[in-house]
Amino acid sequence: MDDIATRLRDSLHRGADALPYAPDLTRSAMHRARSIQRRRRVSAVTAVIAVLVLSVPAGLALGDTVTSSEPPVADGSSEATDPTQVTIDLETLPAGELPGIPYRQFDAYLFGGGSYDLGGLDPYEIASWDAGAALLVSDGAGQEGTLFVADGSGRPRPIAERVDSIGASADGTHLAYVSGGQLVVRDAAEEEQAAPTPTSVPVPTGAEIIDVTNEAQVLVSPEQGPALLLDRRGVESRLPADVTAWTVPGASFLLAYITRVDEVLNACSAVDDGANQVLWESCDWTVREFSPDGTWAYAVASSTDGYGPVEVAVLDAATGDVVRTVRLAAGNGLVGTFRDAAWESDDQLLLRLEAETGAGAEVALIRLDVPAAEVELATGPVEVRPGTGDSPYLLG
Amino acid sequence: MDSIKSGREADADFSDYVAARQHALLRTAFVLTGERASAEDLLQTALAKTYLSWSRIRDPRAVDAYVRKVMVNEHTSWWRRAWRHQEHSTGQPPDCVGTAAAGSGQADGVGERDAMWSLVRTLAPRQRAAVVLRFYEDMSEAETAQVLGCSIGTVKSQTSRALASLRRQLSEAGATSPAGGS
Repeated sequence: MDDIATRLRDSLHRGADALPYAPDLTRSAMHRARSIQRRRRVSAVTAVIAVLVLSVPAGLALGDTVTSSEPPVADGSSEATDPTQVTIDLETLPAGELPGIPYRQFDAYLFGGGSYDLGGLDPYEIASWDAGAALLVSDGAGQEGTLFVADGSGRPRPIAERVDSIGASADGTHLAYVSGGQLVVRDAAEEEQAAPTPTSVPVPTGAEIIDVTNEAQVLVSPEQGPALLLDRRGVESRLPADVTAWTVPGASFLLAYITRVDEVLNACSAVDDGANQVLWESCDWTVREFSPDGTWAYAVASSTDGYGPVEVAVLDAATGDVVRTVRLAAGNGLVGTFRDAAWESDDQLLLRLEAETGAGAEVALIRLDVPAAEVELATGPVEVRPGTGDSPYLLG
Repeated sequence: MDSIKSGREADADFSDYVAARQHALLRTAFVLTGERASAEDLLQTALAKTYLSWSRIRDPRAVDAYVRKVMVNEHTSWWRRAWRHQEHSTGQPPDCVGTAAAGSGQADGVGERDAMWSLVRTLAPRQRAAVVLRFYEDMSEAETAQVLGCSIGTVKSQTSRALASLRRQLSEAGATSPAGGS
């Protein structure tokens, strides 16, 4: 650990150690809880009235507005009586095909029928690019990442340093990354040339790449302010802040973003058609990934208990209706937490599930067929340290 | 609405939990906000929201994680609301909206002798949360990502930027020797 980190740690502990004991907060916390609950009831009624007045499209479930503030912490008691609910039983889950999209498995990165040795690197973000697997690797000690490309011809080679965020287009033709206040876009077709000429445009500090289109448009979300849609000339348009998902399936446009954070930590979010036309809004679910054709939206519960979502959903992207909810079957002593997900096709979603008992945990990649409401094992499970999010798998 | 577990047993469990964990959680709130009054307000809010969910938290081990997550998100939302509306309201931490906070921890008798402590308060809330979870709570990057609700990559970049900012500000201030005398 470097000197600045050591000093920071010392300073934080020294400051906290000097804090005197506070009076018991139990009663005041309970009092405030009841106050919050009263406000939630009032705001729920107000929200329903507002929805009726504004005639928001029918996809918004009015009942959801009332219950939207409930944190979906698991009680482990509900079983599948709801036709939309899909439960995963790891004991009986059938084995299916291996994942059809790029993923990391232990020390290899698999995509396009190939397996690429990571050469001892431990990437924390990966992206599939036609010129090779893009691997974002930290050297530890709080340093920014180095971007490597693994093309199977030898050890992965570094192509950029101080990289914050990466993304690749769905067709693999373009790779984008943010480094040193610049958004860089590289075309795989030019990588064969002796001196490729990546495009570079300035972006605000802390900008994160949300997605990259096949036409090399890139949506980035700065730490503050609106999201920016950029092409090779620079900023094309400004979109709402706090974007969580974006896609351009054909001529349409879908954008999901946080609209507010309510009294009980729920992040309410909206889905927009790109012209400030709100299609629907939900305080129950936060959209993370639209399906490639824009039909479905993978979403996680808007609030969790700090260990990650125990239930996820697939929504109708146009209306917000819940099409499927997915959780681990209750009653076997396992707690299932969904770590990440990626669409394998228009209708099939891969989910990385960690199932833990407290003493141990297993991680597996699960495939959900949305229309069929069926789940199967794509790979795994393997044992990991429980509760850490550590995994031999990473979806790209 | 069934989020409040009404039985005496649940209230007793909650009271026991607060009694056992309050001080540790308050310290976390304090390093997040940098000020005792704001820390107590933040923790009280977090405990209230935890109480509302008490009957449905899956595992006693998850309670601390839940409270920490509420605190981090609540603190960030204070700042975000202030940024959006460009206004200051009661209950908002005084170090919000990017105001340098040197000396504002003086009421606690802590900040005035520690340049690092003051500079931490100038960090953006997400960066501050990342360094508090990583360097005070000693969480792994994966655990920090779970609490912050972001990717491990974001934790890395937020931490990295925070350290770079602190390094730069300390250098500019000429405070190159360890502060606080410990």
